[in-house]
Amino acid sequence: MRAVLERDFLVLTSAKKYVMLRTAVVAVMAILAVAILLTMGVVGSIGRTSPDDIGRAVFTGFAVAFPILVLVVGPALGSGAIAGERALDTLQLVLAAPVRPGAFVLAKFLSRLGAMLIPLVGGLPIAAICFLYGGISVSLFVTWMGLVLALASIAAASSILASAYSRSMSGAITLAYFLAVVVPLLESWLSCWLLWDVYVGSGPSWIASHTPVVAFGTIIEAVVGRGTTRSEVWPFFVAAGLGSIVALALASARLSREAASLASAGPRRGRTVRTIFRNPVLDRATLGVPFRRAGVGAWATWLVIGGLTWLIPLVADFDDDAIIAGMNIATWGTAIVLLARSSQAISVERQQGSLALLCATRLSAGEILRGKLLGLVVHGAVLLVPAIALAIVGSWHGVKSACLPAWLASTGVALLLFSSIGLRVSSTSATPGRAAGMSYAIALGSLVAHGFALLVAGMAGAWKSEDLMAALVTMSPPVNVTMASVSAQHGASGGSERQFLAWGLFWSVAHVILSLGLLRSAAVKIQTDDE
Amino acid sequence: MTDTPQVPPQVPPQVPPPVAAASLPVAAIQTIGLTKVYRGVVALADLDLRIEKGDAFGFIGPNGAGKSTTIKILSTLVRPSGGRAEVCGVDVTQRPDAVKPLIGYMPDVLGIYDDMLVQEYLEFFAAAYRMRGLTRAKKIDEVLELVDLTGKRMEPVKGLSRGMGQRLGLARCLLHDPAVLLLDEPAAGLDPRARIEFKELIQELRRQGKTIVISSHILSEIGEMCNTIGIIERGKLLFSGPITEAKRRLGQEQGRVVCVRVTEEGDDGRSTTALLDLFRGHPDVAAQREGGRGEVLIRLRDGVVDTSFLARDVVRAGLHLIHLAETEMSLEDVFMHVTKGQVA
Ligand SMILES: Nc1ncnc2c1ncn2[C@@H]1O[C@H](COP(=O)(O)OP(=O)(O)OP(=O)(O)O)[C@@H](O)[C@H]1O
Ligand SMILES: [Mg+2]
Repeated sequence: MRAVLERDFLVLTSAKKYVMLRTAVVAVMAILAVAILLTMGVVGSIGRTSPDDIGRAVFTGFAVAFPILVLVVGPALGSGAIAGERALDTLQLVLAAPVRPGAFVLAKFLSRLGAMLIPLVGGLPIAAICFLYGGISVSLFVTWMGLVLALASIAAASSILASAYSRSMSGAITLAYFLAVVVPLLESWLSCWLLWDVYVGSGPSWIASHTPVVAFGTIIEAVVGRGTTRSEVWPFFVAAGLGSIVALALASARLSREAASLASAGPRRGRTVRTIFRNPVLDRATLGVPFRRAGVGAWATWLVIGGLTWLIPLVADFDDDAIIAGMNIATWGTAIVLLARSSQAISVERQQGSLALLCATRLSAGEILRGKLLGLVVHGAVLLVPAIALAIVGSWHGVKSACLPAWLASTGVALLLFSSIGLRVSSTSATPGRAAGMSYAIALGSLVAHGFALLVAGMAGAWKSEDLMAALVTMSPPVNVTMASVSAQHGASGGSERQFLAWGLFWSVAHVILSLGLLRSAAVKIQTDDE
Repeated sequence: MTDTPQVPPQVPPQVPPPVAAASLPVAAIQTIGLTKVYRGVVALADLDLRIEKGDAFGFIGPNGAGKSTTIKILSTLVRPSGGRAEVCGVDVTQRPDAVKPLIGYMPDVLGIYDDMLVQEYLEFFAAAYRMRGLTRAKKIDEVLELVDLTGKRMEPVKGLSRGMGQRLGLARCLLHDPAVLLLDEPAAGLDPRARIEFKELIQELRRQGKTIVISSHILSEIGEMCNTIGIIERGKLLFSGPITEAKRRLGQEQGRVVCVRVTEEGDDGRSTTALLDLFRGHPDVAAQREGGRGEVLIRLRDGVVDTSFLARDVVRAGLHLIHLAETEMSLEDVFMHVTKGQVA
């Protein structure tokens, strides 16, 4: 176990660039927050900034930046733990050695936890600046660290669980993000909807109160002690601890049954799949959609996304907003799946050596990339089928029919952008794990960064400035999707909604141009795949 | 191992390396000053290589010598840092699209899609070479037959053994009927029978007029399959030419070696010791050593032509002469002599 732990920790932290990048991201986000908070003068509400307020601002910056980073990076780090070894056939070697599965899983967990927390240690001295100014009690600081630790532990444990149960790296990564990010997110989403009935108004404030950042924000607010008491975080700590233990136990149980499951993977003999497309890369990329050699995972993904799409509308008796919410869940779910798939599309081929074979054939890099992209389109389209059906059902219930085209168009842009990011990262990544981590970091990072900006803007009292809001909100493709369908549903009547639509359009065009650029450069990278 | 390479009658006799390349017919493969530097690591340094059409070229060298790098450059997968490389007269960097149909590349990794059946895998690559319909189906049948995998057609690729995977890889690179085959360690993982079949397959492909480049560490196999070899070490070409030429040159440099056996096995080596004593310090003998099984290998000094003194002296000393013959230089001898065992 020591050996596994040491090796993994060294490998994970040896890429100095990554560690430094992570630390830098935290620092930049925090410094940005501090700067905005200070210049906006929010902290000194009377107009004069006291040292206490500066201290609190510095702390809030870190308090917000860190959990976000943990949840963005964590699943990517953890999901390679077992699935990666399985893909490289090194898992057999480890299992053949006298290592107990429990110890192995624990080692994987601790190394990931350690790698995630390195930036925390690096950032601590800066965060501790807040003590120079005061305003933050030691116990608050410690509680915050506990929160980060709890989040890191959830992220690491759930992604290792995902890793243990997935056959492929891309499956592991998708499942890991689903467990670590989407489940808590949906949970807050659903509980908001079902229990607290905050779901009153539609439009910006509704979206703003449902971003992941706000979900963490409520926890962090509890830590900072504004309005709620700190004792509220204890259930979270306990839940995180128990959840992690259960996840690790399940993972090691799965690992002890590893040998039994090895044989079952792969296609069954004699069952050929008919070719549909002329481009062989495209034809192959469509394997795994339902009825084209779809495994259990593919069906499960389809059912989960379809189920979540329909859940809220069903509960809400096909209320207008609920239908839009359902459609947007489909967009988000599909975006996460496509991001994983696209990030694996080229990197896996490189790892197994088939990329060289492809490049040596008469297929051009453009054809290879087009095949991969169109394959992703097919996968995305299949995942969106329940949402389209929902929109049609919705139109019987009186939802404006303009909603569907607006949603389709903006969803298309969002998925194109996410797929392009994944393919571009994939075209230069050394390993599939790294490709996935990087893609999610970029895509979710942009999402979170936008939400982060919103949070800061909100704290700064900039909510009223609709220009700023519209520009910020629509910057992030999935949010843009939500905006587009909401606006289409309500008819862009008000000045603010028209502003949102205009910005949305602007960003959509920008995203398409960006995507094309990314794809182009990915094709060039495939062509000159040297190292 | 025989000295004469097994050249079928159709293949023109080997011409010695050219002095002025321009005056010669187009070579299957030609590199001029080919250089590759990977982030400071020199993989190839100024490599000049010429392989004639119809040759079976054995590419040998220690680990890290640059064999795979050369093959990858010729398959248009790696860009050279300097120099030129041509396949059938077509420049690989300038017109990669024209080179790709000419070559069949088999890398040192299997490169297998484990979510496909054998048949699907071949269809995939046939489509990648723009083959369609009946031609494709016929060609797939043909290559499966050739590599003896017809029975595995409907099996998942993942379930194939390593050797079968290797044969599938070979089938893949024969799909589009390339003129030049670039095979990077193709025989690794084959069982003895498959090895013999592989050798026969190579002969058959040569009869079809294909040029074959095989990188391998199994020298005896190279010796049997190829008529020319190139020896490379640390990115530099140490020798290139017919195997016979390599052996002849080595023989000249090292002197001839004669193998003498003087007694039946089981006489606890007394006669071998006697034999060793007999020629110790003899003016015509450069060195001698025991070769096992009662044999003694005697290396003659340069310029010694007459070997009759060996038989005469042995008989005079009262030993029973069983066997006396000049030994064949093996490719191993050539390899060990030419390379210095430096790993790049
Ligand atoms: N992608 C790469 N990045 C960096 N260096 C490389 C890369 N590929 C090869 N090299 C270096 O180039 C040199 C030649 O490698 P190459 O793979 O061509 O050797 P080889 O002759 O095929 O060896 P082997 O017999 O082990 O297969 C080695 O020193 C190797 O370390
Ligand atoms: Mg090699």
